[in-house]
Amino acid sequence: MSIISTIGRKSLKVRCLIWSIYLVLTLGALTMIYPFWLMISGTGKSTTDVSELKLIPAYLVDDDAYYRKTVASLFNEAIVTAQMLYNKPMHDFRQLEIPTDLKEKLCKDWEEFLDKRNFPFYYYMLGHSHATVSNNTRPENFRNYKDALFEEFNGDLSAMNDAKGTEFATWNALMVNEQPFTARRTIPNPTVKYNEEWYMHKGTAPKHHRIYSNASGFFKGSFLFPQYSKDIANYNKSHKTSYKSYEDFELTRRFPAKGTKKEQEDWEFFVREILNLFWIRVDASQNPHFQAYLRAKYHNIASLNKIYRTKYKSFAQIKLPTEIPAPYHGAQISDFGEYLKGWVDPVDKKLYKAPAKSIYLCSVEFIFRDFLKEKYKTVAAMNKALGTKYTSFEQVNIPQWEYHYTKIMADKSHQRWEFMTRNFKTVFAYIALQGRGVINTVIYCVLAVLCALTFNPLAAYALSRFQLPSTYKILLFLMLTMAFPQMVTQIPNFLMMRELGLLNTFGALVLPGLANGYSIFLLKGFFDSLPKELYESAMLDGASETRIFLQITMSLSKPILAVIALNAFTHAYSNFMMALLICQDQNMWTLMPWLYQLQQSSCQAVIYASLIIASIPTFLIFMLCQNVIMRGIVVPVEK
Amino acid sequence: MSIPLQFAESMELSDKLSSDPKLRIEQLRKIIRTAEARANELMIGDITDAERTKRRVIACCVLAGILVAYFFVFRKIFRIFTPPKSILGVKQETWGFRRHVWAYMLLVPAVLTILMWQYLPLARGSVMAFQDYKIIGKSIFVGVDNFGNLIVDSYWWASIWNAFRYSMLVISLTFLPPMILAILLQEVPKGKLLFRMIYYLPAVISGLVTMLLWKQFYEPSEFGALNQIILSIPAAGFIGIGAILMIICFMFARRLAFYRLWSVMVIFIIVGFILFGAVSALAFPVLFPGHESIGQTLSQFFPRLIQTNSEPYRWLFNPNTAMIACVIPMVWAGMGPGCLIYLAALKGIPEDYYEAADLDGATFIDKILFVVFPTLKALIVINFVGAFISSWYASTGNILVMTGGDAATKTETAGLYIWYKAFTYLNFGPATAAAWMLAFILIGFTVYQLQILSKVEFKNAGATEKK
Repeated sequence: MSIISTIGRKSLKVRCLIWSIYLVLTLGALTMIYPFWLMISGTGKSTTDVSELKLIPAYLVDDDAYYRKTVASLFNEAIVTAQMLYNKPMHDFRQLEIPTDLKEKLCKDWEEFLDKRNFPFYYYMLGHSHATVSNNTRPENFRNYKDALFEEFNGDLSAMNDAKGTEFATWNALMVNEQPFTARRTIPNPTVKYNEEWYMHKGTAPKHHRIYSNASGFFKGSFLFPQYSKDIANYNKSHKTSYKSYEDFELTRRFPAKGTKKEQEDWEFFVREILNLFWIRVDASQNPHFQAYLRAKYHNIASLNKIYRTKYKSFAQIKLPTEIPAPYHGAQISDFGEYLKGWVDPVDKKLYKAPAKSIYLCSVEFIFRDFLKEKYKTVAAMNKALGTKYTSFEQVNIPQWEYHYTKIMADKSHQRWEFMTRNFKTVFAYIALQGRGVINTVIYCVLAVLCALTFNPLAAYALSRFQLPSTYKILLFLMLTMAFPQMVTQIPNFLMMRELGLLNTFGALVLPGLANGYSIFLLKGFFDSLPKELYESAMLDGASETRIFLQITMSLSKPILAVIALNAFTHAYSNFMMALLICQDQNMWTLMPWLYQLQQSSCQAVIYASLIIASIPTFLIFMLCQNVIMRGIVVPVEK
Repeated sequence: MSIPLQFAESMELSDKLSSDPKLRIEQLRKIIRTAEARANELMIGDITDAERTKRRVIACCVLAGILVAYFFVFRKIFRIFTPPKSILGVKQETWGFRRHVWAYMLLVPAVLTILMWQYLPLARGSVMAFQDYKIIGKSIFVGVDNFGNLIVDSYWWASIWNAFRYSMLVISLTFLPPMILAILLQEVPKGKLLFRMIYYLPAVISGLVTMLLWKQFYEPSEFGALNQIILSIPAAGFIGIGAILMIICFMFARRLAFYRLWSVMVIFIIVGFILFGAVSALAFPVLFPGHESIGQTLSQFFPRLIQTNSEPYRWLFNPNTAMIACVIPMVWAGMGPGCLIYLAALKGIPEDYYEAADLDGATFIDKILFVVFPTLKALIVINFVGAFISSWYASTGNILVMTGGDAATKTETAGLYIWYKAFTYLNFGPATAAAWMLAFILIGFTVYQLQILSKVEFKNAGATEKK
């Protein structure tokens, strides 16, 4: 049954026609699919590729793009942190260099060193734990943490809040803010049980997701660059030095006695004021000086013990800290900090300040150098073993960048899969945790479909079967509202629902659409066209009216009823404004308002993922019922 | 607040702002003063007594007009729906309650629902049109003032004009594509199901989301998805596409000329030219840059054909493209679902018609013109009227999401005007009055719609199809 006749199909002209129809249809289909494809490929986007418009996302095919995207996610999308911890000037993850020399042997030593030392949580930042730029993207390490908590408390949020000292309103509000402890003001706070749990969780995450804090990178990234710009010429000018690039020098472990005056000033200020106390120690030879400082401050050991909550017998027992103990804050630690900064006795105006020459740094890169020194004894031996060309141990930097590169490249399939699916997982978790969202949607849709399949057919049946003398009047009454503007009724409709107390009930959603004049008109027309003989024979056989209605009228109109049901479902499923307006109570929300709320605060990728998930039910139903729908469409024909 | 800013921005972009600082300030001042006057009238509503009387008189006339119109309309509708008198002249029952108790029982829920949720709100809403309606506190009756103010409001008439433009665009762009798609789908020997599914894809995401998605494609920089595509097609491409569309129209015109249907033929030729002009207009910025002599333009014409436009389109911010940009997503999303009913209708055309046409030597175009169209006429007319009426009422959401319907992009339609009045300024009275006025303008079409509906019957065309 087509316009092109079946005869002569093989002629060139007809073939051209058919092929050009194919061409037009394919072009049209492409314009239909293109936006969808963009949406699907957009679900994996994060800060590095958000403005990209590629059909196949670059991170799937291009290793460099994949590497940069992974690094961005590893650093929780914070460029400043990356610049600091990689000890590299950069503006954007998209410009991150790809390592050419992988320093495999050095990396192996690094791995061995880390395994041997097993540093506590504050030495490193855990990557893939939150997304600073891509809102609502939940990377894998955070998801695991949340799932663990959820399991521990069996989904009881208030129990979790009580136990962990938090005040989260929903499971979806849970978050962590993972940062490196490089600056003095950033200190871990394990007194909040929720944080403590996170610090413990950090240890269980994959080891190559750790990024170790190092003072050298922090020195350049957060201290030198903001002051002297990333241009080495500016630095040379103000410091009277002649470096070729920032890579020519590193933060020294001890006071740079040989450096220029400005360099010395920088080092002192940086160490005394800015660097986190975790990474600073003072020689034990300064113990007496330190004790004198404490004595001047506290006068007697009892008051010190009271504040420190310790049981020292005399000041002589107190030693300079060799590590910063938990809970990482308090008088003991701030006293040490003040000793570094310098403390003036208010009585005799005497200054107590750790001598610059006695201060030394103990962050990871220095410990690593010690490790190498111990392992290889001499630089020559190290160069030979590692195939490097260092002139001193001080030149060795931690090979974190190269190490991560190797690991990221080895982890390709897992990480790519993670990028592709993580936003979907976020949205699924979001939907699953919104308690009644799914149930409400199901109830609403089922109610809507049931109502559409009862009241309209019943009314149509009454009009069609019984030939009422007043049929036209009733039909007119049912359809006349089409002549009036719908906008007039919207506001009074809402007011009526409020007066009837229907707000926040399914009634408000279902009742107004219970009957529809146009649907009744359609159905009546269709019922009229069913053969009268069937009814007559059924009545002769003594079938009851109910039976006639169900077994003849309804069963003969299955396809058209399917279309009506589908329309009712689609309408109920995507009904968003009404659901939001009438049911402002969140317990009554269907999926659409929830997803809308998620989209309000999310990045593009999460929005796309939620849109795709939301459209799956409608699409599945259309796909499965396509043929029924096609058979159920009614077409107007002139009488 | 942002409206004057947007005006200034669009003027600047179209080089309408003077470069002389004094003139420039004067122009900007004028924009602000207009906005201020508008805001004052909206918020305070101060007008003189004489003006008030004048408005009331006009309003009374218009209201009388509306009433008379509705009276005649209802009489007409009533007549349309009244079945012809029985030939035998037997006195018919009027209601027959006693005989059909059960039937009436079945009708009760439907009638009650419609009475309760359609007629009652309608009545309450109509009362609002004569009130200064307050959500909290007592509403006072203001008589016909709401109508009076509306009639003299130039923004209202401008919004009616915009709604008319919008409606024309919707009709011309969204009405034909589903039909053409259905015909094409019908002709394809293989892959019907796949294509149907693909074209239905946009319908699975709800309307609001479609708009949000497209808003991203319309991004005004050269990185916007749509700009990337448009900017990569050379000038010759647009002219080519325009030419193809024009030729197709001419082919139809030729067949029509053969059958001496001159008036329809002329329409097809005009449509062909319009299509050619509209599509190739996208190439004009490249071909005719403007600031050069005709000689230069002509000498550069052919090399320029392969050049692409470099200036990204500001789809939603340019008054020339904003309206059409609001309609394109509707074409995209409406094509698949819209074509289903035509597909069903096409399947219902008996094979014999085509065979008879074949025997008479009819071509492909002949069959479309003289077999398909006449058979689908009822459907086409009903859809047309339905689409026309709903394009007036249902423009609100789309435009609101796309441009916010601001005056600078000339996209404030009547529907949006009412929406803003009701939900932004909370002037429910004037909003309802405006809605009634809009309905009054469209009443003729509504009657026509009901009239056709009463003349047709709905058949399940696909039911006879053999799988």
